[in-house]
Amino acid sequence: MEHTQLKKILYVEDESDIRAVAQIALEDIGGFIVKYCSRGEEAIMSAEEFQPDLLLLDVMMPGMDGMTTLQKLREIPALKNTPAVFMTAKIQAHEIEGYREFGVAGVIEKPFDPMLLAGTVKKYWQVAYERK
Amino acid sequence: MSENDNIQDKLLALHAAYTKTLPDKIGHIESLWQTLQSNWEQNVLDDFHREVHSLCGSSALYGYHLLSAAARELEIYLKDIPNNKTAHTAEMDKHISQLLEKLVTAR
Repeated sequence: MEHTQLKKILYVEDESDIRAVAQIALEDIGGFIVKYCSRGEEAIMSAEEFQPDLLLLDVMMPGMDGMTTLQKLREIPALKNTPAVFMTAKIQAHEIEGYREFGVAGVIEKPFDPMLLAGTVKKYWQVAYERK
Repeated sequence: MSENDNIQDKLLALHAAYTKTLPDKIGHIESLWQTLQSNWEQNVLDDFHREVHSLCGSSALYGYHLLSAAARELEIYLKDIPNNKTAHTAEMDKHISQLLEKLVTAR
């Protein structure tokens, strides 16, 4: 079911130390319901049942990277238009343009500020939601 | 205690826990490098690269900026090493050792 507010986030990040900080940022500060996945394959397995409002993906992961994971998630009909946000340490203007071609709503630079992460994610979701 | 205090306490606790793991993380990277020096294998190089990348990202988030910058420098060098055992040279060994030394002392 699609929500009119951002509630459920599917978050894919291989680093447990980073997930731990993001958990405080997204749950305690943002009040979101978050499904955490350490690998792209895990996200693909659980995404349909979780029905996220937003996909939040690390770009550089061992095995399946963020872009490949997103492409596979897009093959699930219910997630075809779900806003996606990437997180990466390496942002260059041409990379952001490349991501946008794949329907990525925004890119968050790492390291992120835990106090601001929820607000940034919400802002990107809002813009993508209004475009629908 | 306000909600904000509670969040700050949680973040501080995570920071303390992360700091305790740093010697093991760096020790593991050093150990992988020792293994590589005695036997240059692609899978060990991949592990070495991944651990350095991981340290680079996590240490930046936890405020260890010098450590992250040193890890990043090593990561960039490792990224350009070809997937070819025969391309491995003594000069590369020396350079990696120097970058790793910089990483170890940056903590």
